Amino acid sequence: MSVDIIDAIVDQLGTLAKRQAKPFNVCLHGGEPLLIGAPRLERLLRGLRLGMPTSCSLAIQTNGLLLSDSIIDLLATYGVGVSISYDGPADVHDANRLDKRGAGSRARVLNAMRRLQAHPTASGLFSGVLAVVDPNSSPIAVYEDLASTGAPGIDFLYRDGNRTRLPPGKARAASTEYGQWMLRLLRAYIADPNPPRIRVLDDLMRLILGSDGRKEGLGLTDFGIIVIDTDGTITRNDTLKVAYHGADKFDKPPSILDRALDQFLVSSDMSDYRALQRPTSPICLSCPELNICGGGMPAHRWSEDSGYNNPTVFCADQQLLIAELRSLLSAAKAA
Amino acid sequence: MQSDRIDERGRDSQSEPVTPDELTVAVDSVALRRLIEEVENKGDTTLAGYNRSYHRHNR
Repeated sequence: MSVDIIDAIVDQLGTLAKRQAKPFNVCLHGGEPLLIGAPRLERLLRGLRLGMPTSCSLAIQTNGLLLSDSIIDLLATYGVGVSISYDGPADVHDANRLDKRGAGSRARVLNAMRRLQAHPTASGLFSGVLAVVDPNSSPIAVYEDLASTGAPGIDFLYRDGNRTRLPPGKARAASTEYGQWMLRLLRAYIADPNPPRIRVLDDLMRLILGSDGRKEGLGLTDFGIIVIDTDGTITRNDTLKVAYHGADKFDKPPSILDRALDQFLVSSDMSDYRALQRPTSPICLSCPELNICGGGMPAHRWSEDSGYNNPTVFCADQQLLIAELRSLLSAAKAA
Repeated sequence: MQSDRIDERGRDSQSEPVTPDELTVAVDSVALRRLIEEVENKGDTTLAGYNRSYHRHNR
């Protein structure tokens, strides 16, 4: 990311923060965002922190491999919440997360996590770990491993896929490999006398109890998520890449260098993008669980035959999980 | 975490099919009670940040 792009981002987000009443979150994501290097990272963070009110939070999602003590100091200085990508036991994590030499990264990630936890500001700095579900793994072993890290929060992502190209580990759209995996994870979570937070389960329960959702792909909250690429291109949520090549791009991709962000956010391009997030399938619109599931992530609704006009490919999984959470919460409230 | 309970869970994961009925017994759960109380009190959580999900596992 060039200095020109960094300065344009700082300027544009500062302007947006002044003009938009509602605060927003800036998350540095990748690839691997720490590849930006310490000097440019500091330029970006310093500019963002000076230009935005503290109600606009800063976060980073990192694989941890470049999380040196000096980088941790830098993130602490600017109040950046750190989430580490970590999948759990070696046979799960190292199957997918490799360093540039092709070796599993688990040991190095755990070391980085320990350095982060040893920092004097760790309690406000370390937000948690983000794990990708491998439906062929043991959810109990994954839970125990993740909980043993001492991470304050854990979030899980399903592997991406859609109705034309099924997610890894899912035999059919109607099968429930991910839902069954989550039920077993839930079993470990609710039995734990000292549980960390599991964001996806807590968010589902919060929605079932009538509160608000806080995660795209759950509930019916509109999320105004945009991505600014390293070359300054403004794009839709890049999860849409799993629908088809270019699905994450706006028709005429704007650049942070020459398009006023606050103006773009009220454009018809942005309105169309936000409309795309809302479920349209008749199956979803008549589903009693729509307020909870929200139709899932748009990328997971895609099929080559009917576009986004489908329930999420994880519909059966989510129905299984939501039904169990409803039952548990009902029993717990009655107890 | 108690190690004996971890071992027990590990054995469960290898040998028993889990059905929803098995899960409905744990009504006295810290995780459930915490969430119910938060929502009733309109409390907030300590979680922060937003995570996207386009990840290398898809490739």
